[in-house]
Amino acid sequence: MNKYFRYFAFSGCVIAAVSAAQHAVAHDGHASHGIARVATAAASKHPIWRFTLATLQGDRFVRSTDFNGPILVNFWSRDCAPCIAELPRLQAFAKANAEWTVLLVATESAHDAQAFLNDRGITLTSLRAGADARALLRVAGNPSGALPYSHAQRENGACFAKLGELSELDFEQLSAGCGVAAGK
Amino acid sequence: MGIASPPFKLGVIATALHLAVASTAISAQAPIPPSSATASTPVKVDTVVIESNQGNMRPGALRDDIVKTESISEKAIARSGATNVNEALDKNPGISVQVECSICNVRNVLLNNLPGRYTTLLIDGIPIFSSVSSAYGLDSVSVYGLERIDVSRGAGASLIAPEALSGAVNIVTKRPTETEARLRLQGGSFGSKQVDGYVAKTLDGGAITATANYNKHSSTDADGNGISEYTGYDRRIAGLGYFTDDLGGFKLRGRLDVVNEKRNGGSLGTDYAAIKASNTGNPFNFSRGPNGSPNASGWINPEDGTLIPYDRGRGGFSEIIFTDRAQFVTSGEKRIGEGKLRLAFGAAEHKQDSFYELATYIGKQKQYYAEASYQFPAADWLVTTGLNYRYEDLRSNGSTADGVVVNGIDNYVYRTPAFFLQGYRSFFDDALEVNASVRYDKHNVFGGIASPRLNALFHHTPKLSSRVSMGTGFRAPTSFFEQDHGILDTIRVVRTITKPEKSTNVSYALSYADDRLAVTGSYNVNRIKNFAILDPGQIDAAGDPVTLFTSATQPVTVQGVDINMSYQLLPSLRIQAAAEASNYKFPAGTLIFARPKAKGYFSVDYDRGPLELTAKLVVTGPMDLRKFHDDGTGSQNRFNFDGTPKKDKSPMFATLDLRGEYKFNKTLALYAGTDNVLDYKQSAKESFLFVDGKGGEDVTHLWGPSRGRYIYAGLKFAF
Repeated sequence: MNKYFRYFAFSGCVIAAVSAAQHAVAHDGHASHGIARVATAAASKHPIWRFTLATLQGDRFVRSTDFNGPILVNFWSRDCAPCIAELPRLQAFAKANAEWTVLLVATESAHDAQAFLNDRGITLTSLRAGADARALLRVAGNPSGALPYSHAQRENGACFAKLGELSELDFEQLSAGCGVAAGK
Repeated sequence: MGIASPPFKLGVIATALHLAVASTAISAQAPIPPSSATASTPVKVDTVVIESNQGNMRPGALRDDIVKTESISEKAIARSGATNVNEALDKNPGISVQVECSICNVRNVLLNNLPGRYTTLLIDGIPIFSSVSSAYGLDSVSVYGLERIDVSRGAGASLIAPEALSGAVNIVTKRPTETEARLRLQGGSFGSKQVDGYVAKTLDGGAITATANYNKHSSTDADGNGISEYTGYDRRIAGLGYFTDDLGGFKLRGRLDVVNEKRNGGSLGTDYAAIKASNTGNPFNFSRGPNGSPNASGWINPEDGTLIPYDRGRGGFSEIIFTDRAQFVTSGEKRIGEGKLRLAFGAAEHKQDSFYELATYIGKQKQYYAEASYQFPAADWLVTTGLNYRYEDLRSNGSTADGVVVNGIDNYVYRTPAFFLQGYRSFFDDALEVNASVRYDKHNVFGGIASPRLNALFHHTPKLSSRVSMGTGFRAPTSFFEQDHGILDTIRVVRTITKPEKSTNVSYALSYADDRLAVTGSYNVNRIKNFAILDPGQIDAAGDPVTLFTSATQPVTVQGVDINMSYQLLPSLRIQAAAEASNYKFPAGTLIFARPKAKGYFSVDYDRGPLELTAKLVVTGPMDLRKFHDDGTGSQNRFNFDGTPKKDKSPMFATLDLRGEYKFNKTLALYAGTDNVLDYKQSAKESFLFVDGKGGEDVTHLWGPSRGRYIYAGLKFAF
């Protein structure tokens, strides 16, 4: 084994580790938002998930900081029956609750997902899942990678998350304030 | 872990099992404030694990598996313009497709720059290719109707396929979600034509699919000597697939594929019978190309400078291979108690009817695979245990170029029942995931072999993770095409091999993925003992030429580092950069095909609305040809047709591929592309052909692209 090659390999790994760690901190500006982090975060029990994701059409980035009111983010895919079932209800919820921003995150091909939504008349803002859908789900608090998954947050932090199809009771609770009473 | 243990998505299944037995698990899965969690009515959670959609992940990202697994998505396959699995895998970091014969274009998939026979190909998680069938067979694996291709490099790559010494490639069929029909029509330079059809029909609780492919390409001769550098082919593939969600409690999937291919390299044309019958005279011009012979009728003997005239007709420099293959794979899973039962079966029949420079070789092979396993939670562990059985045989007959009949000189029958056990457990709130496995194979020739593996995944943060893998594997060597064309010039194979090839592998990967950036750096080292060698240059006691089938006394060690990253620069524009470097330590006669020390990759993908554009640049560093082609004397002993020595080192070169696609509407899309825009061809610098020190010709001096600029365009229809 060539010792110089070994040194090179080791150095590369160290550099990559440091660079990635620095990027992680610089990009987030705060600790990441996984389950463990939620449990240990001192500043906020459930910190805000900050994201920058491109729209399905690829015409702009959507940032979590673009919105003033509460945000409901729903992860979905075409081969997930409960995901498809709740799409109209999510749209109805957005229509009935103007203070809420409802965003869809498609975990698959942007073009296919957009065509699917168009066919069903879903006009909610729809986003791509970033570099890796599973990693994004993990950051959003869903390490299992299962769908459907919904995550809601207000200005002061995450207030709701659910793995599985949203029920009418869930929508009622979101309409009622999503953690406002508990958080304030 | 798609490939690490195809049936056993441990982390995912752990979650699924957990959800199934505890409907209140929602609160344990997500960071829900207590008020919301308790207010949510506990319900039976109906979820779908998004493993399929990871096919959309970007370069630099990894699948959420313990073993480092990269996915090449359906979209990435389309963007590459690939027509088969070899082309889909090529030009990706840590993966290369090596051509090992300039006139038959036998191609192997190299992972971490190890020989292609150490790469195991799986169809939907079932290993059903051998060194015989992957020689020409991988060109006949269509990529139409696939969801993704998972590539897992290094140790612990496969629980069920220990022969994957360098890793495994798993081809995942798309499970239809809606009834659809698709058609692709493509034409291109070099007489290429391609038609792909795909029909999917969803049923109540299932789906069926049908695929058909036709692909044709002429053999090409860029240097004008009349001998092709890129082999022509005429390929037909058809397939049927089925998926059922509940058949006696089993979730089933399966597919049947049939392949018929004719390929010809060397003398141009498709008049196969005429080429085979032509065995006298010289239809070629050996003076053409770099360092061509001073006389068109033959080449210079390096030993004494005399002219060796060629007089073996079109057939003497041609290789014609007809392939027929049928394969069937199916698997089913059923929940029993708290665990899951998996049954899998695969069968393949492969026939190769070939003509090698006046010699003939007909090989027939049967392969079977059967597996039964059960996965269940035990205390804090998720345990997988099972049995599998692999059968592989080869029956051959043929004749030498002189007409001597040779029957069954490389016949073999391998039967390998095995037992495997794997345990998975997570620690520290799932931040650390570990799986440890061992399998014991009882090989009918090489005896009992135990192969342990250990894999660990640590999530430093939700975005940053480390993976460590270490393990061993083994492979039972076969004398078919292990090295070069050793089988051809012999009437007997003398087997002195007593041990299987064994590998020890360690790898580490650090990966990071966020909304816009994905980057993975990895290091791996693989050491292979008992490397099988086929030495055709031996003479037996009677003075007859024989081929010695033996093992290298020194190990082969390949180390590699690579880094792969992509960044979403604009909402519709992604850039990718990657680099890899390798270090090779091996005795002469083992790694006999040249490999680069370093490669670089750069690509740009634009995707906005109906328009997609892709550009990909691959820079290949120099190759130490003298080291790889060393015949044991410290030199290559390879010469051009004018008698001058071959290059000791290949030059650095680059290839650039461009492709664009525009979707007019849901039904119609138009695409066009150009591969190798810079028109870089090895044949413009150095011929693939060479002669040894005594003037004996060969066709395996390969280091650069065999085909120049290739332009294509096509239409896609979707209904």
